[in-house]
Amino acid sequence: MANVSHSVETEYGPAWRPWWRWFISAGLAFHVAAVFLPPFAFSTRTANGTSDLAEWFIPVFRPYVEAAYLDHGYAFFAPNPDASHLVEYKVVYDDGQPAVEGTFPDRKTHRPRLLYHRHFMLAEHLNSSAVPASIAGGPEPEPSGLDPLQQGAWRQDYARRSREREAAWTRDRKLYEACWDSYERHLKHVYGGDSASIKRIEHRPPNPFEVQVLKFSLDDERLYRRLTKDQMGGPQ
Amino acid sequence: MNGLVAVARDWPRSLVRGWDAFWFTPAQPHTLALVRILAGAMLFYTHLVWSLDLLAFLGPNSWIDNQTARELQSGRYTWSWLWYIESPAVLWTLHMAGLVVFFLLTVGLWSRVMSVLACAITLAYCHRLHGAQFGLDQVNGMLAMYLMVGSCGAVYSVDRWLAVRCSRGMLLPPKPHVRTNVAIRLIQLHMCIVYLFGGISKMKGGEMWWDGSATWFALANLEYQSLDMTWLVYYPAFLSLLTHTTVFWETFYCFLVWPKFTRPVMLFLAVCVHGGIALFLGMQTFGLAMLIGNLAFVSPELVRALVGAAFSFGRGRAGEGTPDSSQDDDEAQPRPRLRERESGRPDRKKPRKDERDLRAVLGRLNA
Repeated sequence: MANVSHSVETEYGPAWRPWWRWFISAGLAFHVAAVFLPPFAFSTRTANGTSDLAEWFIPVFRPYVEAAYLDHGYAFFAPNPDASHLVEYKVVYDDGQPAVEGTFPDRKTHRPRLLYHRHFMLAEHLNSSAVPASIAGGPEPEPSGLDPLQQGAWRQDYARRSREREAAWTRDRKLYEACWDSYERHLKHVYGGDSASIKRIEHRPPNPFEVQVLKFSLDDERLYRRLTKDQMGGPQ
Repeated sequence: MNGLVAVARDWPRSLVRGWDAFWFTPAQPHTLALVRILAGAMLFYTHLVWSLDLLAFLGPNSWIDNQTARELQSGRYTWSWLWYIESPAVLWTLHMAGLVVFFLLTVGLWSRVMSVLACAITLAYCHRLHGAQFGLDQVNGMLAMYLMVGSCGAVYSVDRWLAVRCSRGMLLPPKPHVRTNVAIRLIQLHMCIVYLFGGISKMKGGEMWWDGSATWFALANLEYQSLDMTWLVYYPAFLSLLTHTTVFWETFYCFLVWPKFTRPVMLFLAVCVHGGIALFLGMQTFGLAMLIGNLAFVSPELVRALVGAAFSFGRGRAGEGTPDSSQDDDEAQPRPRLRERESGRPDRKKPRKDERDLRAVLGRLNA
């Protein structure tokens, strides 16, 4: 940076006045906190929940964070480089024309690379927003050894958590289905078909043993798994 | 005891002085101007690629149509005018206007206005195109926002060239400005936060980043692959080295990029990591965008020297007699007028009134 002394008075004349510096400093501190908080909250997420400190601050910054497009976790290839996902589609014509089938992203048709990556992200988005057809997990067993007062408090809290879980599942499932339907409508429109259906495909990279010893190629059929709408991917 | 009191009294004052020096020291605009050119070009290219299939991403029957896009963002503090545009003609008109804005920002014409418009347009696209985005858009949004803050068009811009022309070569060098420093500092801090949490998220639950296999699984992912590097499977120690270097570099970037002795090392590793992502993982735009962000750590003096050297090299290659362009010369000296250049003799014609006035002002300033 420019080689200047610690004084804010420079050879180019006086810099900003103190009251203005204090005002701007408050704005800068707010903005830097707004940049810091979303990835902090994302990183503190575990199976038990998110950091209470992050949850305390996030609502204050949420309007600014979301409006300024700052709500990111920056978890690139994290926690681990994962399987990638594609979408297989089929467009059918009622008048007997042969159906159109394809997969996206498609390296051959989606050029330049950035356009290919956009289609790749659409496939990844569909997978990352996938929600099972019903809420996972059964009822939680009541802890033993509680007195009647504690039992009442536990049941009340359990009911609240169940309602929140159901509301979150309903919202997420609705968004997943909306995306799914939107993709099918788009394909129907593009190919002029009467109906379109899509399937998710999970493509895991081979491990070093599979490549070195078993001589798998990167597009070996055994590395692909077709998933239905309600099937979740991940390690088998 | 008096020493302890003095330390307790001086520490907050030194904190405030340090804060003031960090944020409010005027800075030369050369680094920010170079960021403007490169980030502007990246924004232009990013949005130009949407043009190749605009209606498929933004039209009424797009992959994620307007209604679905609004549902995805419902309950959030986001908004985009693109949610409400169904007409392809209007969409194309606004899209072309956006491309013009990004182009003008790149070349530095009406830079102040264009930087604000560029930021608004970038955010509108980001909020509409949920589902088709990745790290590139996050970096684009960051750069577009901070270019609004500083004097990004003070040099290396059409604005500067026009100002020099209008002043007949008598323009003063560009002044350092506090806003420029604030913009650069914001980019620097944002990059630090990106890398810090990039590293933390890998360390947190990433067995592959700990056992050294993460680089392999990234290179072996066919959907990402742009250059086949799977032959590295026969060099597992090297793959481990790449993996561990990446995660430690990311995590400690925010500490080691500031001292002048370790900064060149961190920036060199940034070129290696992002260059690798661009070359081998097919994300050329994301790799380049991150390198543009890293440019914030290059001093304006070095940028000026490098750009000056590049221009001198270019002029040398072009041959003798090329008109000497002083628009990039920050020590802009008054240029001799045409008659003086041709004859080598001072022009004895009486200077015009505006030139006399300008010389009088310059004389007072230099006194």
